[in-house]
Amino acid sequence: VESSNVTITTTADSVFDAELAVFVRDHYPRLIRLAGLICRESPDAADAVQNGLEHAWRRRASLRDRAALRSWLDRTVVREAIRLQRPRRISLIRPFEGPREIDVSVDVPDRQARHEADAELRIAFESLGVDQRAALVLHLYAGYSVEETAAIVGAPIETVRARLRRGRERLRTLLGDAR
Amino acid sequence: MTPSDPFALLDERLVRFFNTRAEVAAAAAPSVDDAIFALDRRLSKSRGPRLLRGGTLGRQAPAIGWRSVPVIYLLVAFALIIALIAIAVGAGALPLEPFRAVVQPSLPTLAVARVDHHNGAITIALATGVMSIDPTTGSQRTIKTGPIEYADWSPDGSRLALVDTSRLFVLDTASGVRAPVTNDLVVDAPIAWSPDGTRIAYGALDGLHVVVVASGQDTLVPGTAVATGAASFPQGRPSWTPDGREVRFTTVQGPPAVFGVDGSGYRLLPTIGSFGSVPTWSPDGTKVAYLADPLETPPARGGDPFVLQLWVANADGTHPTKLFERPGCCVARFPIGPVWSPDGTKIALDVFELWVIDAASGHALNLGAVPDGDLGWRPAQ
Repeated sequence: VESSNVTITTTADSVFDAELAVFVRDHYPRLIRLAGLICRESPDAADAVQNGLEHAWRRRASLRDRAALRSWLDRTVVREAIRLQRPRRISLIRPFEGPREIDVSVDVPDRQARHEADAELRIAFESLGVDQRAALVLHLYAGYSVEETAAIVGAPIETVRARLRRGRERLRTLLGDAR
Repeated sequence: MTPSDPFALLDERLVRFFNTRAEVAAAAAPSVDDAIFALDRRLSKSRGPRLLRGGTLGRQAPAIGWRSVPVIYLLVAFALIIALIAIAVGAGALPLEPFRAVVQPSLPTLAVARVDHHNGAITIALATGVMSIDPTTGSQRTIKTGPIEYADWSPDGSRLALVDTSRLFVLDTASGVRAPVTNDLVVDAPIAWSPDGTRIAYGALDGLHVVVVASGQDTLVPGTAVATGAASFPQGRPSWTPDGREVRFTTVQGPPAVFGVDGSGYRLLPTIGSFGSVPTWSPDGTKVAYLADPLETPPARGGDPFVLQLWVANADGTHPTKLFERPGCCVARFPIGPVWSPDGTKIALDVFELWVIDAASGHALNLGAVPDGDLGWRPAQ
């Protein structure tokens, strides 16, 4: 009897596991590259992708269209990557009365990429704001049009154009050439 | 890109850089298999405890996606399991053996961060022992080591109940003595001391249990037995009423419920919060705190999937008040939920960072990022 129960459990699990595995394998490689270009640290990129996948999986019943799912996933992961890259507020907001002193140690992520083909460009690119980085990555790497990029990041088209222009100008300045 | 494009050469260089950099990012990121495993783990938090597959633990253990598997699969599997259990139990051959917990592969340390002298300290059950943080110097010391799955402080703050893979211990913090209460538990949700410090309630796949600390006697409260169809799997930390006669708890698939510890008076409570939220009642039993997110509200209707909110309402869910909000996704990722301070004036909440929130005003104190674990509040002594 016990083995029968295990068999039933395994069958149901297998259906779930197979669907989940296919879903992740379809999207993870693309998303991790996209998030990895926007985020400065690998853990942030992984978090952004995990959050996006989790959200999409829970809503997959309403996102059956493959093209729509891909676009929606990209948007979700990019926005989450941008959110994770914004300065985090670690401060006292109207603290309580009375003595307290808390400093729970936080791992400081290693900001030095171990494998880097173009350190100069990497440093210059990472000095850009996250909004400019996201716009450049979506437009130049992912191949989205300016309009599509604007829809993904949730900003007006003119704002995205300005981010692309200013980002390039800053990169050119930092790289010390006139190109 | 056109020849007149002033950024043409830069764009070419950027595209080459992006292609190289993307491969570097992909190489540095977790593998696809790790991502599948991590996502499975996350989803398992929202759909409830996982079932055992063939006696294996951790990575090889599969899970039934209670929210994800088509309903027909779920119903058929559930009906068959219930039928088999009924047959087996009737024949005296099967004491609910198919249900077992899958233990988290990564096991913990208990971090202690002192918040104030009135309410004591916030604690986090984590990896390989018990770590305290000195409130004035920040120095850390390990006061006990050993794997911990769940932990809860006794009402007087003198004892710490610890659950590892299958055993319940009580650690006397003054003497350092770690006494076993029972060696045969399968705990699937955080544990909770009774107000008088004599019993501990916990959730398992077969229902809610109460253990008498002095004797180790473990009782499945009859009204909560999943096998009878009376309830869904418990999740979150049970909440004792101040008189110690009843326990409120949350279920994976249904609304919260309350029962008498003698098995009487089982009844459902109104639905509180959104899917995945774990309502927690205040120590005096008059208020309930819970997480909510607008996840189910499509962005087109103004919903923002990346906002987490803390709400406080009357114990029956009426008169909800939003107390706290911060960016983040999603409620189901935080199965521990809010934790009330012993005096009921504050709420500890670990959503990416640890917050202490005034239960009346919503004033929030940010304690920074902490490791993920079972959050507790050690009463002042």
